[in-house]
Amino acid sequence: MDRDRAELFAAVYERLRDIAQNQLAHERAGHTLQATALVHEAWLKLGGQTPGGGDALDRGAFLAAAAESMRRILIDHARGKGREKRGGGRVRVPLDPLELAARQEPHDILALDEAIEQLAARDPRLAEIAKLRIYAGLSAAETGNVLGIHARTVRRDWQIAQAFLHRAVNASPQATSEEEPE
Amino acid sequence: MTLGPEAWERAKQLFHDAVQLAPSERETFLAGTGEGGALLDEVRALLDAHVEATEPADADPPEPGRPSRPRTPAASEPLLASPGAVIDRYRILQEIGEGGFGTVYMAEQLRPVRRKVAFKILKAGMDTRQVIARFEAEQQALALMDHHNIARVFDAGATVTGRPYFVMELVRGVQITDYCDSAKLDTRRRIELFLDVAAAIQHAHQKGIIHRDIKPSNVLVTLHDGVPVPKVIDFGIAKATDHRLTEKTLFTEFRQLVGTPEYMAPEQAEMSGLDVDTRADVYSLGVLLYELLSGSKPFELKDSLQKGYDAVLRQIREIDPPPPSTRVDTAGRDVAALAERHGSDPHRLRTALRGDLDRVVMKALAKDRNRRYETVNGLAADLRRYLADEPVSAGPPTLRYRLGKLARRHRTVATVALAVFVSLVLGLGVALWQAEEAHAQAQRADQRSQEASEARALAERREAEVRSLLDRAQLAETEARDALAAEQQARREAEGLRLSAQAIALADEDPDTALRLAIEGAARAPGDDANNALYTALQRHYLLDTLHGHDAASRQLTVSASGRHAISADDSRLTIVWDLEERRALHRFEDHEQEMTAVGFLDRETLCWSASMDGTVRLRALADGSERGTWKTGSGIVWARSMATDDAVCVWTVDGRLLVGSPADADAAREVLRVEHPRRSAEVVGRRVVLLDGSSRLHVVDLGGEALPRVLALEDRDPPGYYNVHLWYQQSVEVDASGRYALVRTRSGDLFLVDLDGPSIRRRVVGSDARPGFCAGQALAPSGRWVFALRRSIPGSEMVGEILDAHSGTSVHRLGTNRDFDVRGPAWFARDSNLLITTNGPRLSLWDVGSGARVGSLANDPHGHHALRFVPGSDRFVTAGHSGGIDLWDPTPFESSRALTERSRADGGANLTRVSADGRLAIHQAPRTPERPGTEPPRLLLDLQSDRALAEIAPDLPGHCDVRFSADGLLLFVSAGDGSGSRVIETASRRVLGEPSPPGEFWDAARFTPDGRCLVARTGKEFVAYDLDRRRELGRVPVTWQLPAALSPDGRRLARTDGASRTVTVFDLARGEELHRIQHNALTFDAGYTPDGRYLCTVANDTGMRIHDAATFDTLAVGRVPTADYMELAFAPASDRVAVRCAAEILLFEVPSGRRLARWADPEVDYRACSFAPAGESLTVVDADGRVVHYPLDPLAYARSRIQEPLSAALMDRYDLGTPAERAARAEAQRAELASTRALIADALALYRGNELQKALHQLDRAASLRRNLGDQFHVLRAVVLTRLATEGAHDDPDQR
Repeated sequence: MDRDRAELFAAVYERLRDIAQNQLAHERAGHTLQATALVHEAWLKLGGQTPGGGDALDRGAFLAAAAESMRRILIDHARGKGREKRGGGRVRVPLDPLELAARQEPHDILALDEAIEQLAARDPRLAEIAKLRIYAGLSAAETGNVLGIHARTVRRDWQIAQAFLHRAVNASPQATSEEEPE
Repeated sequence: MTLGPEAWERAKQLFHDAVQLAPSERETFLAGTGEGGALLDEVRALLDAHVEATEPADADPPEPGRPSRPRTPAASEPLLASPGAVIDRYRILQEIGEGGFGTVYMAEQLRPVRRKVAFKILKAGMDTRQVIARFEAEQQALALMDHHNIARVFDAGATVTGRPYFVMELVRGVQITDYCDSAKLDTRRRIELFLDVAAAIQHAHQKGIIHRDIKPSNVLVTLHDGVPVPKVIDFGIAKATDHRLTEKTLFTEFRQLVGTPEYMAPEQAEMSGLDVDTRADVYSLGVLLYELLSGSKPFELKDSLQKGYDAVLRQIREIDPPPPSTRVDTAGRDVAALAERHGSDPHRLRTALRGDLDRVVMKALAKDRNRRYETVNGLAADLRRYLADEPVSAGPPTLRYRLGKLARRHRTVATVALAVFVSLVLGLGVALWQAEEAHAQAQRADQRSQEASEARALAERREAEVRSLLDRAQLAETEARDALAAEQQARREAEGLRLSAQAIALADEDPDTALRLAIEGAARAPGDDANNALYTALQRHYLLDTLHGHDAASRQLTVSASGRHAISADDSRLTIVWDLEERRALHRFEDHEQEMTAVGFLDRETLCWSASMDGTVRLRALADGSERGTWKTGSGIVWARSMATDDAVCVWTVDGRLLVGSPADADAAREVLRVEHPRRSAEVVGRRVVLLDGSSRLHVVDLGGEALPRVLALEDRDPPGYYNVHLWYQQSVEVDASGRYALVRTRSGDLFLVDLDGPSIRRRVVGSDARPGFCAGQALAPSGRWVFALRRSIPGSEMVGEILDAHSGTSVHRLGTNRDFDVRGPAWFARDSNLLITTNGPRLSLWDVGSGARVGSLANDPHGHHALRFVPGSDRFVTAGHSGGIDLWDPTPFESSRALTERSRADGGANLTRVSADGRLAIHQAPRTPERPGTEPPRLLLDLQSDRALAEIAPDLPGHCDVRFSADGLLLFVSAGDGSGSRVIETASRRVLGEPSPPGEFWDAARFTPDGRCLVARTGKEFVAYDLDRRRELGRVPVTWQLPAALSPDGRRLARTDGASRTVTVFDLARGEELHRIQHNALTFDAGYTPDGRYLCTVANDTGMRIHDAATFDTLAVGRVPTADYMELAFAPASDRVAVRCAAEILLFEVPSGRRLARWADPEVDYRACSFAPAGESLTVVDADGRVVHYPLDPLAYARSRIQEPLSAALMDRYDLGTPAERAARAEAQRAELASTRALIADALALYRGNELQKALHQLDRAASLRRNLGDQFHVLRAVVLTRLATEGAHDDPDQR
């Protein structure tokens, strides 16, 4: 089972990386990419490889793998850009990693990742929910399906996870100067 | 602050509980839990973060690099608007009200005039940018509203915290309901007051504005000299805020009511996307009237509100309110008080309401808008009938009611007519039988003569009755048929007027649909309104077509030199060649292996090529798409262009080689240069190639020339701080059309203008030694004269988009701030016109380079446009969109031009002393300078199109001169103020045709006859008519008033405008006698003959313009004209139209009927001249900004030529068109279509499961051909099928197994 998951992960990761990198490389700043669209595209491409046409892949497992893949892709992307300090004061950091990527704010992607790590340390289930919602762009109901919990619970937990992440991301110590460099 | 696992669980629980509460209650709740400090701190922190995180997203997300503004915590918002605070140019004085959507303050406008205004700040939770965009879209229309019962909306904007605000005329009044009650107005006076409100709303509807939020708090009553004057406020705001009844607008999260749904029409409450039209305002007015008359609202929604949103919806949509009169009964104990407030007693009040008023109100409140009054006028007319004791149209179901309805509903007409007819036929049958019987009796009683004669008499009587019955039957049938036809015609016309109004309202938002609606409107009800709608929609109809073919974002685009073809490539490496004239794809290629770099044409458009990062350039024949060669450069291509020699392509490769070659003969390719760090920033002009490398060095290569490649190093420096990280300032280079000047942006955001031929001129246009230029967007005009730059001029300030003089770097026009432009977005100058196009998200803004004015704003692709290319020789351009569509635009839908070009712009057009009526020619003369008294600056004849001075006019005439063009611009009359002479000059040849004035006489106010053979001018004392052919005077008439006279086309009669004596006097010139005086009731302004001489038009300050028979002087028609700012008359060559130009509007009338055909009015525009095209097909209008617009006189035909396909069935449904039978047929057709597409998709799914992919795809394509909007199932299935077909390839195709 673990081997299956690892293989699945590898396949999803590779596919998503291709799609996402292609998108990120060409995307003009200001255009928000849709995590859902990327994941959906990967699903179609992977799903297409199994003859028979049915849902050969376990959609839940796929989505979990997709979320984790997206996270790694974006972090790689951000690390690749370097970890420079971001200027400006308190910018509201959106919890949409692709928007962050498109805005070329590597700091924010890494900050978001750190925040999720912090959350995982505090409450693994909240972190799991956050990854699926943020990186795979899943709805509450889809997240519930993947994790086997009720959508209502997802919504409840998401509220608190969102608050936690928002605080963690925006409380980063980097926010200091607002001077324009001369 | 680290909590243990248990404490964390507890904290989560408390968070969940607290978050359900209103923010204000949370603290009390937390304090009451008895938990410890650290845990509660954690919960509080999370709750704060929750509030921040779930607050509506900021309207404009901080763009990278732009200094973000500090977010003010929600709690301190009101402080911003506290008295004394200054927002933009308004100082807040005091709060005067608070509503569901915001707070209203009295404020003082500081600039440009000081005045008190009402300042409304909307509550948080709206998308500020959208609100303002919607408001701006409506602003034009709002500006046209001018009614003393409407409070004007002046301005809109955003506060520092990003909340939208509106600035309105300050109305110091009380709510209309409160006023009526406190003044104890009786029913009649309430209705009279209400009629003023209705008139205001009707006025707005005529201007295409729907209020959408009429309620007592938006109708304020002020007293003027003791007379109550209602004012309707908040026009345009409901639309801007997208006022709709949703769960969110109705309740806060905690079920607190915010909206006022009682006044909302059912179709507004429904979220069906049905368009709200003027009938929604009729409904809201109905509610207002109900409340004014009965003292209560039709619904008390309090009960259903507690049951929630759905209950409210149901109440609004389904439950009919009780008639107003019954409210007097149900008022119970309060009835006496109610009656007293209405200045009446309970009985009288009940009687007053019962019957007609009940029915009028209930008709306005009909759930189905088709059953309401069609217009506010209808409602008002019924109320006026009530006041005049006439039967109302909303009559009871009696015979009178049915006869009344006869005029409205043709089905009823038919029924009534049939009934009448049937009864007549029956009567006829009986009578015939009786007559027969009588005849038979007569025969039987032949012998009995007595009886016989009686019977015969009876028979005759019966026969007479039969004949009369027959006549009546025929009459009834004809009447019924006429009534039916009239009814159908009336319905059609009403529908047409509604469509025209809707077209005007929609014109800014969706010009395409607006134009389609206007076409339908004009087909149903031709006339003034329909033409206005057509012109309005046409004026904004910029998008000619969208060419579909790309599914991925298309980024590479080239338009051929002839403008006939275009070639584009997208992210999925699909290349398409287009025929722009036939608007279709010619060829599609998909054979590059990597990302596309560029596309282009060669060899007089017989060939096209595509270049890619895969290192190849592929060449194909345009005629048949056949391959003509592939050039493998061996390294990825980052940039490529066609050479001006038209036989070779110039490419720059990843490894730095600049190669010139032809794919047709790849061996002949040669390496011209090797430049490291290729950047995609290069340009080719003529035979010159200019490359900018990664180290800011400019490489200039003149191919075929002797000169060696040159390298110009530009001073470069590292951009400061984080700009580097953000790749803020990408380097780029642009070259002007002459190839002499290059505009370079360096990494530090400095802009350099480099003279490529000069020794070493590189002027820094933006930026200085001391500090970098922070330029984040630029373009160089092809003329090399202008630069567009988006730059930050002062550190920390907003970025400013400007047009700069390329050579001096001085700012010529400030266009806007970074809110108006995409930072780092592209910009394009047109080569053949004065246009600059910039991007802002999905919108393209069009600027006139001459005046710096924004002349248009367009958008089609919601995700923006990547590339833009002008069609050579025109204003038209093509864009490639992120969604793949190739859009074809025409930003000047009416053939038009900008007349005031460089020379005239220098002095703002002030020295253009005369412009010919066709806008082609002008006289330019600078004012006399005090330094050189006596010397006259030269009078130049300018060709405005080319901006060339054609000649100096009559240089021998000294001093001040009067200059006049003939109506067709072919002749020019010049006369010297000192009486030393005059000339008639042919403008084309500048030949002097005559010198009419005798020595010593100064002629002015000259007017030519249409054929240019005669002219009439004014001396100090007389009007002189002069025959230019025979070179002799035709006669003189004394001047009574200093106004120009009109000469009949044959030169025989002269019409003199007598001004204050209120007459126009017509003289026979040959006999020198007065023929007739046309009497007006006020000051006369002007007179003019039609070119055929049959009609004489006179203009006076009473009714406006009158059309007379020129021979009999009978008044044939009257055309209303706003005479206060009357300027001139212009006649169509065929004499069938006259245009009346006033300062701010132009009216077009039919001659001799006087029917108004169109009206152009724009308070912003100062109309300077107008004339008809020689064949009379268009009206040319010149305004003070130098814009020359040719309006087609048959706008319907013109609109149809732009839009081929008719209104779709979906749109017909959306706009409620056609007879009930037609609607039913459409619905049936749609159902059938839906059923068959569903069947096809189901079939495709089955085939897909059976692995028959090709067949499945076929079924899906058939479904797609049937219906445009297909659901997700279709798209997912199609994507899956296509993916599998692509991945499995032919060897898996089950059909081949």
